[in-house]
Amino acid sequence: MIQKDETKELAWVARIAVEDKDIPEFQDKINKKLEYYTVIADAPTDSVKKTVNPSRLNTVLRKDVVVPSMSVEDALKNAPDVYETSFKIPRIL
Amino acid sequence: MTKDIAAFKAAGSKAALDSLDKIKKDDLGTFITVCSDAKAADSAAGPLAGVPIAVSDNISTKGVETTCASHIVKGYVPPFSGKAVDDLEKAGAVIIGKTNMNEFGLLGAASAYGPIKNPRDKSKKGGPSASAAAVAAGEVPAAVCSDAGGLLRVSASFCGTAAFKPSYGAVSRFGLIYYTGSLDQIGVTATTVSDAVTVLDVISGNDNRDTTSLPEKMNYTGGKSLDGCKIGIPEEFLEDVSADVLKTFEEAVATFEKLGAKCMKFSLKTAKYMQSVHDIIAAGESSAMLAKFDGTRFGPRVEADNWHEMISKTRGLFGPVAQRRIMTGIHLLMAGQYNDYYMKSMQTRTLIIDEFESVFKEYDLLISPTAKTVAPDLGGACGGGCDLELSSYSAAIAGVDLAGLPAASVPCGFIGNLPAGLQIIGGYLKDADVVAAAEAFENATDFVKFPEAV
Amino acid sequence: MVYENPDGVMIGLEVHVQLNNANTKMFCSCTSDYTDSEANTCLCAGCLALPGTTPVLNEKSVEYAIRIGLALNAEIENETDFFMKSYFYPDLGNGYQVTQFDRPIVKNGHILIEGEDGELKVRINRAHMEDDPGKMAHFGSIEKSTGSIIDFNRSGMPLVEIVTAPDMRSAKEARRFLDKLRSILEYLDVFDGSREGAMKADANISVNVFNGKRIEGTRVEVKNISSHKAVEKAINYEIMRQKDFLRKNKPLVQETRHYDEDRNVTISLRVKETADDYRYFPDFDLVPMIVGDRVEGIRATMPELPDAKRERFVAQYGISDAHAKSLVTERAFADLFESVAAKVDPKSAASWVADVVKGELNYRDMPITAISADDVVTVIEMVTKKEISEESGVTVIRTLLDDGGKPSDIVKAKGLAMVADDFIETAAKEAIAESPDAVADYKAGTEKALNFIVGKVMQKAKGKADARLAREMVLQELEKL
Repeated sequence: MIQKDETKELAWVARIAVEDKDIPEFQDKINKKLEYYTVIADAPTDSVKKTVNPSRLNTVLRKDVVVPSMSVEDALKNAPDVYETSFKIPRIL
Repeated sequence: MTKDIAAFKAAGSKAALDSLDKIKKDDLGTFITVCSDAKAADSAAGPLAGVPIAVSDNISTKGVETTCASHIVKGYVPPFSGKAVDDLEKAGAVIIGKTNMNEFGLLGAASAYGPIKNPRDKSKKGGPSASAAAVAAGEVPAAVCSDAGGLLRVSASFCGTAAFKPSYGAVSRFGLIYYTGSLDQIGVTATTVSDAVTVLDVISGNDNRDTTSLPEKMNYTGGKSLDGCKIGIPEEFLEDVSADVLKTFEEAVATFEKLGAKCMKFSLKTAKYMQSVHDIIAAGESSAMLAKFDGTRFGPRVEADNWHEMISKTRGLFGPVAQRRIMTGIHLLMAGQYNDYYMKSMQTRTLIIDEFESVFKEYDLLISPTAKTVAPDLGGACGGGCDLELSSYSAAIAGVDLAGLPAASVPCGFIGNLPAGLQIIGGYLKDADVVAAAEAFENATDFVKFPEAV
Repeated sequence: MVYENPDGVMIGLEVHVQLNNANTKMFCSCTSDYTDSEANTCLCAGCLALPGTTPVLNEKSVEYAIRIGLALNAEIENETDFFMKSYFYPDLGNGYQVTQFDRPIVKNGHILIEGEDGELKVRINRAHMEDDPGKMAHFGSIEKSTGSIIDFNRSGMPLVEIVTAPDMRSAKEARRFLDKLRSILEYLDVFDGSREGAMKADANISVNVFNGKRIEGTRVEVKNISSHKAVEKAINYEIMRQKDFLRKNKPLVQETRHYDEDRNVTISLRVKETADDYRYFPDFDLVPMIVGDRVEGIRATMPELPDAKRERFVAQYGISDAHAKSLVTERAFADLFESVAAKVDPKSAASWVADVVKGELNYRDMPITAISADDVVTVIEMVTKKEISEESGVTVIRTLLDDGGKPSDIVKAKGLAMVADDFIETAAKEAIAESPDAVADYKAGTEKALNFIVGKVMQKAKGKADARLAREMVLQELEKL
């Protein structure tokens, strides 16, 4: 179960601005899920391999051959802010 | 009224216009973007020449806004198309528009573009994706939509269309904006199974841009006949199913028996883990997949003094369900929880796949109700796992995703004028068997045609 | 001699190597050659982390990682996989880096370096594959900037991160490790070390002896060491700082510090995150890699590495170990030497290539491609045949590098050809005849007088005589008197 301050911390780690008034609801709903998950505790998983993807494929590799890049116009087309041909963002610190 | 591919083809060059007119006239909230200048290329040839097809709004379309029904993707115009979209266009299809959906396809998450109404009863939900509603309303003969947690199948069940989610890897994920890449798979809904397969055949095949793409193109024909077929019914997949839906299911079982199949109930031991495992994996994957939406390179930006604050505010544009899903995923992946939840889920997933494999040594197919209820009220609870904001409607839906199995949903009866759906599940890569059984069931029943949608 | 390591210094390195000799990036088919390109012109939707893109691993980056593993005398993991490492940063479009976690492709290797007290074995704990983020630049300094800009050309470049055990005991050893590693990597043809960002290192440094007593040191990570010159300075600064703290009884914290090359200091990076939890989990977009069956095929194509080559050069060509060591640091010099040694005396070849050619190229900061083996052979042959003097040989090499041309033309144009022996004989006779005083002095036992006469001969030959020969001729003629 997560506490209120952990919920706030999770929002920060997720980089999601959650208003203080919404934190209790978030905490409650996340905790309901965590409680729901307890059902898997008795799954007999000792020394069972993990499945990451249902694909049965392995070692799918690509040849080292260059495909032309997209145009810089396409690259920047959706950018919220641009400086010359770079993506511009507010200060980092 | 529903119109199949042949009916739209019969309209010739008017097909796309008919579709656009119908979408305009309807008030179902089925489309986020309509390509109002869409028309068939003069030279259109191929199996879908001139046929209007809808694509769900989480599949990238070059030059056409793609939003995933989320405020955080609003205005994003992809510089490339998904493989499925390219294939449709090559086959002569006309991409008529982008269908509405729950935000990112998350169960219980509202679309930023309003509710999806059920064409059979506008006071009811059309499902988590509007692809089935668009087909049921006769706006398009078929719609391409991804399916994790029942996005496609449950929508088809609510609207009375046929749907097919193929084996994992049959259709390239390139261009699909998935939130859970190991559970999601593009499929098709149409008025009939054979129409769905016609479209599915067009978009199937290897894509060297998607590592998980199957090397050989899936063959959907030549499946086993139902005569002498052994069909398993996992008892756990019937739990909490509403009485009226269960009745349609029992009738479906009788139909299969009549067609020469032998149906047997059995207990699927790992079923009880399926919803949790699906949700834990989907949450973890979501937390990574939805990290790229940060107002830095594309999409809207909520201005702030510094970058971290800017992205936090921008990411506040996710709806609350998406926000909680991301936060849950982050929590589960942190060192303190990882082994007990995420690692455990990946291991349990192996148990689930193993059990399905042994079950399919015994049975040719499995069947279950697709959804536990008929379409719920528009404003009300969304039913199944959706109310808990789980990533899948039911264990029957989750299990298919976890093992990457092929599954069809076909209408199997009506409660009032609301359809119920039957899910037919095949072994991994046994897609043709599922198609054959679904077509045989469809031919033996009349649910595709009756009663008519609005 | 045993190195005492008075401060109990332990240094481990994490070296990021960009596999920039692959044609394409790690997970997409974009060009890896973006060095001179405008920002955001060498990329695709995947490099930009636009939604809906899926990664496909470059076969070459796997081959290169295996090559590196074999060169580091390491084990290659048969089945390996990728993980997502999550953190938010502007240059990391996806919000996660694709890297490896508990099954790195390479583990348990070592390389030998010249340590403070002889050969030192530096253990390699692991080497794993990962992708490079984009590149950020700030308007003004990072602390005071009003904004930043991002270029994603580098995004998705294949990297191998090599992690050593804390086996190095001085900054000098750390530098030698990096020099050796660079040399090996260049032999493997996996990267071009001259390209910006090709090799970067983070160093873990601890001081474990204080006042002659063993103490539990504090491990400090110094990031952002981008040049070999910087590594010694950065580490020495950090050792000094830790010793200073110990002396003043100030508490050392286990932390990450940033090396500021301009000011030659390390700066604490105060990170806002409460804990570094990168939430590693398996990358579900990729399937497992089974590479065991590729290893032997790759081993068969492995080039001879510097250590082996050095031994062979000494044994096969009879050259000095010092020359061999100098020749093998760069594969191209070793190759040049062997081409030259095939045609002339190997010892002369070693001395000309290692001492003259290498020095002249380094002085000019020119690549080895600026000179051909044939030209070097021609010059050595001319010197051996006494067609030109050794000094003139060096002049020819310099002219070749500065102005180009053919050695024979340069000799002609500069008039470097040595004068004939009979000319020197005549000149010697003349010089003796013209210098009766000097001859008398010499006869009287003043050795110096000989130099005067030889100088005269050289004057007559205008410098194009072999000084030794001139001396011999003069002595010969003096005998006759």
